Amino acid sequence: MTDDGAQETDTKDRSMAVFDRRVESASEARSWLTTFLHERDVEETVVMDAALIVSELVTNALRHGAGQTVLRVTVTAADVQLSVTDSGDAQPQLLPPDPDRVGGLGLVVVNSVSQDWGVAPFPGGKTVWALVGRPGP
Amino acid sequence: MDPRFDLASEDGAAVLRITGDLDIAVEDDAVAAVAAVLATEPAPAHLVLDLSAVEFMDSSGLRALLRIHNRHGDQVRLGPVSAVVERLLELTGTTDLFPPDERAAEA
Repeated sequence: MTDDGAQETDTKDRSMAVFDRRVESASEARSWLTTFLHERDVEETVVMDAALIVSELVTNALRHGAGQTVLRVTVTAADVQLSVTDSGDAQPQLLPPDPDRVGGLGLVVVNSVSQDWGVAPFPGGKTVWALVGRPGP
Repeated sequence: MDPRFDLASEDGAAVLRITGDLDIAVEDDAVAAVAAVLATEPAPAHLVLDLSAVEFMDSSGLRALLRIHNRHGDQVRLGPVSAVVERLLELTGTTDLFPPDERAAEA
């Protein structure tokens, strides 16, 4: 970025945080994200959906991934963009809902709450991303 | 006792009220708390889960409920739930997992 204005926008509207492999990280990630979104006056229903998605993605990284978990968030006028990166090889899979199966429900939640989501694998890890749409003006 | 779990007795039934967030950090403790109550002597006729004070719940909270249901069956019933709990049950198609608490149904 060469433009000062663009750079300022960049630091203002996106952020990242790193979380250790401990069960408390899900709650810490929700708190961190909720504070960030509230400071940007993001609508409360969007904040709640984003916190639910981040809780699911960070929890999946804790259960099935490896290494630390990196959470990134970007806020635009249209949506909240979330991504969670860990160092695990296992690829998340969306399974059909089945109340008799314990587990595998995290991505069912992400799939139903997000506008879109996906997995981007890379050598040495993966990023799971999700978008939460904001209501129009 | 753990401040997240509050136990009361009503008409021979045990009522376990869970407060705060129901996530991965609470899943195992919630399952253990229910098992501990049902293992007491004399055993309560059944246990009602009061989730009206749960402020956040994700699929790990639902995992706790599924594990409780798989282990104890209809001995555990679902009492009042907060809006966030109801939404998660709807999102995951598990609203009818537990038999409703009869007293709640009569009210």
